[in-house]
Amino acid sequence: MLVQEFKDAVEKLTGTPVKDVQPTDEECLRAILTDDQRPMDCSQFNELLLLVNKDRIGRPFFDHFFGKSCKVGNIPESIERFQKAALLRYGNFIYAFRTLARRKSFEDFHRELQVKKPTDFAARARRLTGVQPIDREDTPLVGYLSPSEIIKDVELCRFFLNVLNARDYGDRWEEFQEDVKQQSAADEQQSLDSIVDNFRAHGDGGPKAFKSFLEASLKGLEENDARLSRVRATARMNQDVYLTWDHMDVYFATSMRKAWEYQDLFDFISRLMGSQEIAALDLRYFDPTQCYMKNRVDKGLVESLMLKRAECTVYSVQDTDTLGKDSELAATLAQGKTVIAYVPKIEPVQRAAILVKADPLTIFERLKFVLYADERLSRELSDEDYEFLKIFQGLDDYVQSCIWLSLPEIGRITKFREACRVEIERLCRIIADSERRIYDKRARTLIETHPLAIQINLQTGVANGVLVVRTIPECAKLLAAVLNGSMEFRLEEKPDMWYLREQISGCVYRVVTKNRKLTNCFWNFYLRDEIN
Amino acid sequence: MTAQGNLIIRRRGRNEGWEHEEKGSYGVEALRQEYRQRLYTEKGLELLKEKHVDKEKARNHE
Repeated sequence: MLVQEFKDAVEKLTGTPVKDVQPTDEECLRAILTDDQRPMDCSQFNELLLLVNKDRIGRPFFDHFFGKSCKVGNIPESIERFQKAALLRYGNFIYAFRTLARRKSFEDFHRELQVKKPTDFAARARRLTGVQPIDREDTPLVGYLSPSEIIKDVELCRFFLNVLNARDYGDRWEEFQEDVKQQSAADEQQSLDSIVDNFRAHGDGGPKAFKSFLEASLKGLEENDARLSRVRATARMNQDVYLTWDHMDVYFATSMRKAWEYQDLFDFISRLMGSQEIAALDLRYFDPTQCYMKNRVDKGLVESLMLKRAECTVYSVQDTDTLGKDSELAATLAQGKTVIAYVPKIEPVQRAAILVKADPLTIFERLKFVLYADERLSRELSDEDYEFLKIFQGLDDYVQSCIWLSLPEIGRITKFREACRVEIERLCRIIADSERRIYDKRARTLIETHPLAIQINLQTGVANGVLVVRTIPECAKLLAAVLNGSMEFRLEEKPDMWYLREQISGCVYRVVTKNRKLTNCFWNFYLRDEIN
Repeated sequence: MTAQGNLIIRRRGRNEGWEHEEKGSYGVEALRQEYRQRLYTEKGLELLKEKHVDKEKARNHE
């Protein structure tokens, strides 16, 4: 080992420059360091530190980072071990060195370093109460949007039937529609008119046929309505179960509005928690697709409590990034806990094959989403695909002609699929390609560009970065590592920054800036009292 | 109009549920009552009530 290499290593260890080393000391160092195989114990290393005008270290520090069989050639890697620990625990090399090097007892040293013992998941008591599962298809009913569609449909249907039951209109649509107008508020005229217009467009049989159609629909609509109440009752009970669990390992942060967002999250959580390394841990997790709280204030309080209790948060990047989900991410980071952001890696061919089988209304909503969210869409499309999107009207016509929001018309869906098979396949390919661009961009933003993808633990000032994964197996591996305390890191030095990168995600987890002004101002507000 | 704007503007979408005024509670019955208030005119609500009273009478009569 060269003298200069040793001086550089000591600067990394202490976080401060090595100054005023005399030529005689340099000569002495040269003689000692020339043999990389020379064994090095704590007292010998302390002599080297004094030769370069630095403070000595305690035995616990030496044993922990350098080890009992340390040799001269191991000094740089031992110091790197210290730097990783300093980044993880303090986010500050100087403070870490001064604090840890002075600890005399091993117990005191380990307490200060806060080395967490891995949880023995197998030894944990089994839960007394479990959640009652809500089926994938029913998960949108715990949300905000789907119930309003169900209620609206059933109430519109009942409204029409009330009007039709009051008198016999024969074939006289105008009289019927006049009575509808008299009894309904102006804001809802459009919804009412579109139901009548769509019914008449499907094959007019006069108000009498309309009444038969409504009576047939009412059964399905009321079933949905009853299902809504049943699912919500189950979800309310599940909420209470979450509140009473004595452990909470994982919080799933999400924002869901559309039905497919609930179902996508359900699929993600099922696959993640069912994966081998996670299922074996028998974790307790807060699943927002399985619970419901009627009052928005209580809902916010419950979620805040879950964020406090959970060991880590898995943030599911979906179509919409909202205040709620982003706040949950920030609240987790601010507590110094880990956030794993899952941004699905879209494989366009597979994705298009799934989309083709979806309800045409879902395909339409996906199209609208990518048109708004993918700024590059029109530039990425071929001229032929652009023209196709411009002129293909079949899906829009289908959507416009749907009578109910919450009751799929199976016969019409089949007919539509048969009539527009080629166009729908083409459209789904375009949507899938666009979704890939959108999610890749979201991942890049979190990994590379967004300043708030790294926030600080508000209590300690330690920077805490979001870990982004793109596949469920990666997510499972990382989640297991977080909970088992077996995460691995890579130290990286750049001209303006030290980074600690987590190995599975490759993301920045901790940082130390080399900006002197910022460093001084920052730590004055965090470690100053303790330094004094 | 940009090329993409041109694609967006052509898609009108569909009617959706309504934007609830009752933000404090997402209870089904509260939402139902809110939507009924929104859907019916005063005359419509009167007819609905009358009908409800008639139904009750018929049920009691049975």
